[in-house]
Amino acid sequence: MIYSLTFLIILANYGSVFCYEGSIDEELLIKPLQSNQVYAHFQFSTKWDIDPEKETFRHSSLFPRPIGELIQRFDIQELHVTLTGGLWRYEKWGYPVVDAATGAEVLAWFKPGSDVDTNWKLLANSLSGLFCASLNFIDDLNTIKPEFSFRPRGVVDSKFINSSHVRYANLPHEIVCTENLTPWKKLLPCDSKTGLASLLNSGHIHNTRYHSVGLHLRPVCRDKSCESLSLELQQTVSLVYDYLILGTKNWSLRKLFGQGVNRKCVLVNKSDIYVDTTLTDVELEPAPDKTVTSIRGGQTTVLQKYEVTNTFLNIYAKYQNADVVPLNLPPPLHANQYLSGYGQERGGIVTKIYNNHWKELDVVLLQNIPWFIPIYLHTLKVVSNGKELKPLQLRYIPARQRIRPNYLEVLLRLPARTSTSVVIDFDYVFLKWQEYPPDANFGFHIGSAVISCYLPVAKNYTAVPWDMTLISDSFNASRNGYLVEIRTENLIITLPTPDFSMPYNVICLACTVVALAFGPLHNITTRKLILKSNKKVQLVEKIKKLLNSLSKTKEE
Amino acid sequence: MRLITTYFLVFLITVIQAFSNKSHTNNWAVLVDTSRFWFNYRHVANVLSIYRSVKRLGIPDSQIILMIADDMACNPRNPRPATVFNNADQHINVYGDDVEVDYRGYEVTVENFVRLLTGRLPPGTPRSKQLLSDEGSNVLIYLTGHGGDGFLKFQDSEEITSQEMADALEQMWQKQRYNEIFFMIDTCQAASMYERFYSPNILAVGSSLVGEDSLSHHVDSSIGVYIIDRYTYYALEFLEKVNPQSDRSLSEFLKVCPKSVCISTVGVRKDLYNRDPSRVPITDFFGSVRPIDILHDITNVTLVQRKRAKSKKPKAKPKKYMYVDPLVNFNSLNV
Amino acid sequence: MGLLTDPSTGQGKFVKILLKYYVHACILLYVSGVLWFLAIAYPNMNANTYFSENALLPGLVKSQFREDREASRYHEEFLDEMKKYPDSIPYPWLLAKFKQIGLDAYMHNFTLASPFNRKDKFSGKNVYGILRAPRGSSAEALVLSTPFRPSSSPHPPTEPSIAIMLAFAKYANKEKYWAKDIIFLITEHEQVGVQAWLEAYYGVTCGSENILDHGDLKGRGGAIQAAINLELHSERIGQMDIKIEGLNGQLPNLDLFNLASKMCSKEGVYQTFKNRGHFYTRKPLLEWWNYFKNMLTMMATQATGIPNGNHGLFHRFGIQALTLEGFEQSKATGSSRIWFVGIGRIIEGVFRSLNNLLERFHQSFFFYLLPSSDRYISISIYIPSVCLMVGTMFIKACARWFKMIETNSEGKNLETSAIRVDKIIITFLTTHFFGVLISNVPQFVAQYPTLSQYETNIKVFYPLLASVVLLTVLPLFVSIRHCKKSMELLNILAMLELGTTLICISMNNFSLGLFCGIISVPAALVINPSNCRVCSYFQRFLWFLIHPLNILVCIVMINTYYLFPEENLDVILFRGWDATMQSIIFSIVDSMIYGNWLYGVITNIFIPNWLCFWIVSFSVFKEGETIKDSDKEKKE
Repeated sequence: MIYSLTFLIILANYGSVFCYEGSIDEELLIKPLQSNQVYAHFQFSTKWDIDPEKETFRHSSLFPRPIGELIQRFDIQELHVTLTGGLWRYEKWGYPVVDAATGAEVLAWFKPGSDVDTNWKLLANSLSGLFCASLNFIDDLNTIKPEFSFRPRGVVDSKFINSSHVRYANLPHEIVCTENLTPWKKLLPCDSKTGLASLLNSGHIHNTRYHSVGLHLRPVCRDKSCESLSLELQQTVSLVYDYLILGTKNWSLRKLFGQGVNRKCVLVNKSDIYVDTTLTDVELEPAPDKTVTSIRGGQTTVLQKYEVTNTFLNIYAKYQNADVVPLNLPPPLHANQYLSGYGQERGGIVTKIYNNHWKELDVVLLQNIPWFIPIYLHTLKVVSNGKELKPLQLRYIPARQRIRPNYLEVLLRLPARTSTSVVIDFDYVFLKWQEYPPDANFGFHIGSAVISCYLPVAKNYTAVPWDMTLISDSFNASRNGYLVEIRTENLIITLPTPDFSMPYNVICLACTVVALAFGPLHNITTRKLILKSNKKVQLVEKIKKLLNSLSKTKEE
Repeated sequence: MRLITTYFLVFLITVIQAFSNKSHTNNWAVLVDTSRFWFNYRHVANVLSIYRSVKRLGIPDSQIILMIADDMACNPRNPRPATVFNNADQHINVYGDDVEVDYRGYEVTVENFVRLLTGRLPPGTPRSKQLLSDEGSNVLIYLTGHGGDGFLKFQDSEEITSQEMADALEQMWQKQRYNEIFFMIDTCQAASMYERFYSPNILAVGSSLVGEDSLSHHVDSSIGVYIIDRYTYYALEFLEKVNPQSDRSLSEFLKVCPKSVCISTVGVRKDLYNRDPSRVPITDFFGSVRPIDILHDITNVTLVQRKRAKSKKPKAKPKKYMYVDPLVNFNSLNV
Repeated sequence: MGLLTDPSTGQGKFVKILLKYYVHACILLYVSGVLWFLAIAYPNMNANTYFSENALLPGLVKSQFREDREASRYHEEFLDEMKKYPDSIPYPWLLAKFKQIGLDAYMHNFTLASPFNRKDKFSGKNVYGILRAPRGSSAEALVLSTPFRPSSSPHPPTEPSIAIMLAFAKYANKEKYWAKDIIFLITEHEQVGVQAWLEAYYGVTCGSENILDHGDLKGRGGAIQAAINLELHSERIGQMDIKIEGLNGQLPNLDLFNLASKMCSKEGVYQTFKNRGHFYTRKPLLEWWNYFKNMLTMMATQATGIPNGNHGLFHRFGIQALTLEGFEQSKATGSSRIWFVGIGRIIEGVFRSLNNLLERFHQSFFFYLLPSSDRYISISIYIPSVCLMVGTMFIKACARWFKMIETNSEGKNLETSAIRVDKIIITFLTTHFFGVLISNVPQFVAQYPTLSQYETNIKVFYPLLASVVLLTVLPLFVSIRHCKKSMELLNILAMLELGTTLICISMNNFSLGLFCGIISVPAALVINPSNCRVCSYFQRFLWFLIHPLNILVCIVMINTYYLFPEENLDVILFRGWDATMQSIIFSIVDSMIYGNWLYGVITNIFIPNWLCFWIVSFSVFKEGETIKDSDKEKKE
């Protein structure tokens, strides 16, 4: 009793932020894709109207405190963390709201004047504890500072961007499972008890072709004048369900997530569900609250809006033509990555970018290649439909063994309607015994390449514009261009692996060789050669000699 | 005079006893699975069974260190994603909905394990990865994987020997990092791991003796792997019937898998443990002590406006913020 | 005796023994090598096969394949469709079926230019569909492939394989447990199609440039771990034969073979290796003979370096592959036949076990011989036979060297002038230069368009034959064959080269190394520079028989006789000659398309080596020559 009272008193002395300055919104976008898949994207946006530069982050009511501590301790300006399982297939599914590579990706912008390297390492450790992921494996060996590919998405106070404040790392081998979702859910204001987060049941959301959990933090303008800042935290979950795995094409919230929405979370401002009905002839039950038409970048999208209230909500979709095999139109830009060559001597990494647009496109290709794959810049070749292309700009920092990875950034202008291959050759190297992971014969991962492009059309495009926060802000939000950051597949490369059961044999062999060489050397350097008579000695004389020598030694 | 001295001595002895009979004040659990690869599914099921019991009986996640060397639940080979069952008939999903794994994948190494136990972790290690036990902590240590005579294999590439294990526990004792330890191990030749312990207050149980193999329980033919080991299967069965208020004793738990069902003989080491296991409740190790007081009336507290210190700095000019271009403009680069 | 002692200070004891007994040692070693080879087939010398890789867990999962009706339906439809395409692959239907099942379907175009007439081009199409692992990230893949054979093809038909492949794809697409992508590949033109597909997948050219234009692939599945090739000739299978020999004698991992073998036995189909199944006999000699015959059959296939199925082309990329060939009739009496259901379950069992693997195959053997499908001979057991045989070469070379040094030191004064080392080196290099010339004759010929009017046989084979025959007169132009010492040195060099080559070849392709060793080693031991006329003629005759071309003619003639025993002698000879021509042409073509190194090795190493020995056998000198020289020096 006394403890609780004391606690309340202490809280009261420090409490001043019970009136929350900001808003929390949650949205769910459900979009059936051209192939037999359904895309579901959750976005939980927390906006906190404080000045990130002055705030101490010691008191927060709805903004998650652990994130606040991270910002304050490590001088973070912007943070993007994604954990992804499965691969996003651009050629079939279009563009997701948030691009994420398979595995873990961490991108952070630090405030000027801070010790970026130390903060980065400490940040990686803290994130690993926060998300129950092995993000502590992020260190200098896989971190790069990309110059062109990533720009701050939040507001900055000067147009000049110093790329020494950014750090980007990816861990292609990370898996994402319930243990990553659990702490992520705890950052939400209502946890997963009510609201849209109650749909996130791990047994269902992991039964998907693609699932990605993300955390994106950035400073934004508080209002139109943009003289003061707010802190925006977006927590996203992207899922792609397959009808074959679900068993039927007629989906419902219950089928996808195991249950319908419980009721609205009381702390949340807006809680909406949008169902994209542009391409498909679908009947929705219950009837939507509103129909929204969005014309963006020349593409029209029709969405049905549901507002979550305090009653239970389950949306059921019924398709009229269930057996139609849809025609697949690929998006304007998509890419693949693969290894070329065979054997264990040399090989090549090929990134193939397909430009299906009728005009030429400017892309930035970023490759973060581990240090144990020495690439040779002089073998870099860009070939587009048979013709060689010269990169507009090139940034290359070669790897140093066990110190830093290869960083390659190529700026290209892709001709219209072509497929361009960017090829670079490398050698296979031997690693030290201890550097092989426990499952060495599985191979080593090379992370995905990132291809950034500012598309002129918004075909199959769902991302939220930069100056906006919510999915609903992306409706009718035509801009000059639409940014995509395409991720490719991860590669698995088999390096020459020793036979780990051989150390005993190797030691024996080595010792034998050393002994064979050592023996004669020792003999030659220490023995004195004397002449020996060739006569044959009789046995009796031999015994006499032996007795003599024995008596001599006795005397000594 | 003599009477007074006797009374004084008795008083002194009771006081000393009262001080030395430190009751434990908190509970920690260190649960480790050391095997990797899909065909070692059963080891992950083992460790998650104990995790589930320990969590159900009250130990919070912040005081459980769970180390799993490979991912079985979200493995693409698992036809029931995000679940790990202890039984082919899918009785219990031991993975659950709110699991928190602290060390996973390549992080489960002998070095990390020993550093965790001895508390010598590098600076910057997050709190959830540290064993912050003190002299009043009862620590449950559970290990499972492939073992041999005097060693336990970690991820098929390195081993921890029983001597190293014993030394780590001795370091814990010297640093007063535990009150009592209950050491459980489910591997082949498990008893060899605890043979070398020499620190006090350790009760150890192993699923098989030296020279014996611990066997798996059964195959799940829809997944195609051995799904759980015998000892842990029966241990889980026992623990499922225990609730936080239960008074089942530790000695009942030590008898949980007789040779008829386990095929291997369960080994127990009691000589380092000074209490009688039949008087120790099982919740001393598997449950948690947390003094909770429930409030019935709500107190209204007036908010006190925090006085912000008047900044002596002159008010800075309002900065103008802007968004940058999403991508570098190719035409602006001098090409 | 030490490694670092000066050999010119005198001969140690060991050398004396060597010089005295080296002939006996060589004969003994050679005979023991041959005996060892004969003995390894005996069951007590080898072991039963076992699963090395724990992760496979074969047969532990309950099989769930039930799509046999679908398979029958696909089979009927496909047979209908094939009638519309008498010569080529019915790709629209296949693409449509893949799409309908829900896979990513792609077509692959490739072009093959004739190696000897670059203007002649053949094009082909492969069709493949990729089943994406439901929760995977396309980093690893498995391949199930089938060669498409139109009705005009001379090989047995494979439509049931395509039917079962489609049915399996349909079944697998609904399952959630695949961790790797599965690529269903249907190739055209037998091995050329597979080679083109693999070259396109990995972006390489394995043979000569500008012959196989491999085109480009639009879809990939990551790193391929294993491949299964299906050649089912009927819907009801009574016998399943597993074929493993690959290009250049490479073999898949033994665990993959064991896995396929176990899955076949689990379904109850009669499983054979080299068309021979299990046999039980009490007589040990008969048992040994059966195992030995089996082993020899396998070695005969392996020695040619030509894969006996599409699987053989996967091995060089690190992909473990084998072929399952299904026959309707089985050799065993009373064995049951399995239908599509059983075949589907075999494929399902194999793929589920492959799916369980986290790492590549690395535990079991890559170098082995199989005397039967349940016994294996590992490299540690078979390699001593070749080592013993080849050891004779090194011992003889060593002995002759010491002898030469001995006679040198006895002669004392400037004996090195008698050994013209520079001329020997020139001779040696000249023979190898001719060998390289011969190996490039086909390519020279191909570049002359004026010759394109002639048939391939004529324009390639006859120049080759002519050049080989011409080379046999080379010894007459070698002046130093009159000098015994030089001939000795040349003999030693040739022996060392032969020994090293045989060892190197046996490491890669044991069968080829062994067969070459058994034939050439005794003949090489006989060759000595001698002044005895009879010995000389005998050596020349023996060595002439050992010429690679002669051996090839012999083998082909014997084979022709076996195949057509009822024909007349002249017909057999004619056919044999034709077959010899064809085999050489095929060998050249193989090396240009697939990178088969048999032709290259024979022309670049064996023929020059044969020439060196041939020159040695033509050495002509008088006995008193050496003494004359030293007398000359003494006088001066």
